[in-house]
Parts: sequence; C-alpha cells; structure tokens
Amino acid sequence: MSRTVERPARPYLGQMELDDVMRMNTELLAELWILRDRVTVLEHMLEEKKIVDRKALADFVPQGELAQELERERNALVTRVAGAPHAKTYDFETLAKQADIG
Amino acid sequence: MITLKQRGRAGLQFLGSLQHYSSSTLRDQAEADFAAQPEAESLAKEFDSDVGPSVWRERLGRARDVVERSKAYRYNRFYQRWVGEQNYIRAIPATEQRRTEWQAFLAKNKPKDTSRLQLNPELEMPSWYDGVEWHLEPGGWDGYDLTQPMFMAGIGPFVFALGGYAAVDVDCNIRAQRAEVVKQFRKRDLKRIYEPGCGGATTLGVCRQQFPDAELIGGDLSPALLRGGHFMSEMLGLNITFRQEDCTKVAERDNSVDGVISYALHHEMPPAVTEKTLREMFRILTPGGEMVINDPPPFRAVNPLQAVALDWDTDNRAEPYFSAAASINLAKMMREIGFVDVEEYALEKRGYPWVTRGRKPA
Repeated sequence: MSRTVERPARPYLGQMELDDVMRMNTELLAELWILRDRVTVLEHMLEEKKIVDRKALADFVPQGELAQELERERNALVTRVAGAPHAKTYDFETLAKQADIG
Repeated sequence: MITLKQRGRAGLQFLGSLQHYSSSTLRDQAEADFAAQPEAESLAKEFDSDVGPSVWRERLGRARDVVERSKAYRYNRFYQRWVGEQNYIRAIPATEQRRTEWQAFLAKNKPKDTSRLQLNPELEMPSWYDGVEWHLEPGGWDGYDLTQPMFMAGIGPFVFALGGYAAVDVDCNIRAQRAEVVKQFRKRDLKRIYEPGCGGATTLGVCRQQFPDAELIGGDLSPALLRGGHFMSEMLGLNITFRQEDCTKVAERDNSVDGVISYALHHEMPPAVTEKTLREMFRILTPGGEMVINDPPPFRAVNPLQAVALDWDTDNRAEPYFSAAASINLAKMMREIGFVDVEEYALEKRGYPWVTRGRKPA
C-alpha cells in the first residue's frame, strides 16, 4: 500500500513557483503562530509561579544596552528579509560585521 | 484520552483558523466575484437542471473558468489543499509523541466484550477501494495505527470541528448535524438499525441516543476504523456490533432490519457500487423499513461556484468518486430499485447535510 501522497501538478496560483513561495510563507506563518502560542503559555505559567508579572512585561521599556541589542537585531532582520530580493552581491567585510548579531 | 504537546496542538489550531478564514472571508469574496461575472446568471440557470455525468463535466469546465477569475477563490483553493495535507503532516508526528500514553489508555480500557467486533481477515478489498489515500491521509484509513487518537485528540477538535471543508459549511455544528440526520427516520420506534460504511461509532452512537433499545450493527471494509468504533462503543456502553464486510454483500438476512442509516458514504464509492449497496439495503430492510442517507449535495442542488468547489475535491483532496457521486440522482436510483415515499432535501444552507430517504413498500 502506498504511503506517499503526491502533490498536484496543476498550480493553484497560476504558476508552480508561486505556489512554492506561498507554501513557504504559510509554513512560516504556522511556525510564527506556534511560537507566539508558546510564549503566551510561557508567560502565563511564569506569572502563575509569580516569576513574571505580565502587566510589567507589557509595560517594560528597554533601555541602554538592551535597547541597543534589540535595535541591532531588528535592523539586521529587516535588512535580511526586506533586502533579500535586492542583494546582488555579498562580500567579506559586510558578512564579518554580522558576527555580533544573534 | 490523550492531549497533544504544545507544538502539535498549536500547529493544528492554526490549521483550523486558516481553514476557517479561507472558507468564510475568502469564500464570501469569491462568491461576490463570481456574482459579478457576466456569465453568472446563465450558468446558475443551467446548473438548476439535472443531466448526465458527461454534460456535468462540460458544464463544470465552463463554470470553473469563470470561478477561477477570482483571486480570492484561487487562494481559497490553495489554503484548502495546504490544510488538507498539513492535517496529517502535523498530526502524525504530534500523535506519535503520545504513542506510549495512548497504548496505556488502550490497555486500561480493554473492551470486555470482544464478540461485538467481527473482523474478516479473508475479506478481499474491492479494487475501487484498495490503495486510495482518502482525504490525503498517507496509506488511507488503514495506513496508520494511531488514526483514532490522531482524529480524536487532533484533527477532529482543532480542524474538522470548525467546518469549512468539502460540503461541510464553516461554523456549522457537525455533531448537531449528525443528530438532525438521524431524526429524519419517520418511524421513531426502530428495533434494528444497520449502517453500511459505518467507519467508527459516531453515527451509530447518535442512533443509540435516539433509539435506546434498538439493536445496532455497523459494517465497514476498514479493520482500523472498526476496531476504533468497537473500542469507543464498549467504553461508552453503546452496545454496537461491528462487522468487517463489503456493503454490497452483507451478512444480514432478508427483511431483517427496519432502519438503515448511511452517513457520508456514497461520495466515497463509484455510482455502480452505490446502486449495488442500495439494492442490498433494500433486500435487508423489512417491509415498511426506511433508509436515510446523508451525503454531499448533488451538483444540481448547489450554485455553480459551490459545484466547482465540490468537483475540486475529486482531484485535490483524494476523493476519487466525489464528482461521479454528485452527478447522479440518488432519489431516482432509489425509486428505480423499489423504494417508495422517496424524498430529498437540504437540512442547512449550501445544501448540506443533503438527505435522501425512502421506504421499502409495506
């Protein structure tokens, strides 16, 4: 008995590559939700154990080194994602600067 | 029972939400897009009349070209297929993580009465059934030994319960629908009820609520589904007998049951097998006995967009006989076999549940 489900040859969105990109996009959306669900559950459990106050967490404003770290990470993410279709070359110097990110 | 770990639960809940969005917001937009097309009115008129399968193919082809102009429809279909696949891609590993717990649960609740499960390892699977991976489930009904907990703890509550797939409308209550279908028996004192293609104990479980003293018998080809049904039946004290058999040749004697219920079965078999099944059910029914059928609506009972969407299931959600079944006239077939007082009607909007019922002459 076959245990392999074949995917349809006909694209749903007019072009097979577009279907592929949408598959990746939807898969990432699922992963994003799983992570958000987990963070919410984690916050709830930490609050129940009186380790974290969820209101304080929501009101918290990062300052100093933490704020700089978040900014660095945020900018790098934007550059990687929004810049992906525009990047034509890559070089040692730019890549080396990314060593302190993440 | 078992509960899934966070990743499995959240992943399946996401599928439920995506399918819900696809079947409500996108579906509504697709219907509005279709209504705005110049061909919409004439197609709707054509779809109102009953014709043979070859004419339906031609009609559906033309309607599909119009329906697919809608971007919302194309995305709706993309998400329907994606969710259809992901149900298993996500639920199988999530259920596998609970294998030990499920096996312990089975061992603790071992059915005491094994006589109510009658498997037949010698039964030859009909060629139309063998090897079909129904609903995109790898290996089909008998492909995965944890199918029962996979549905009960995962796909059932987190995805299917929200509706919005195949003929099942979004936001409907699939449990209440089943009860409503069983209420369509005109006689309310049935003594013996048979269900061809029963799968598990779901429909016969509803029969038990409505006919507490009736003898209930279910037949199916799949040993995995029958085992699951028997397990649930014994655990809940439903007293149902499960028998592995081909519903075109069942073990019941002539004139031996006064009720036959068939739930979402005929779209999963070729029309010729449906006809044989109806003849077999006619044989076992007592004079005056009644058969109640629920299946997806025929193409003639729905609008062109819904017909195109139902037809889509045939090639895109491993429902090889869906279009053939929606092209036939079940009520007419029942009358030709000899059933009388035959009626057909929808219980809810968008034509589902679609009930066909008829009696064997008294």
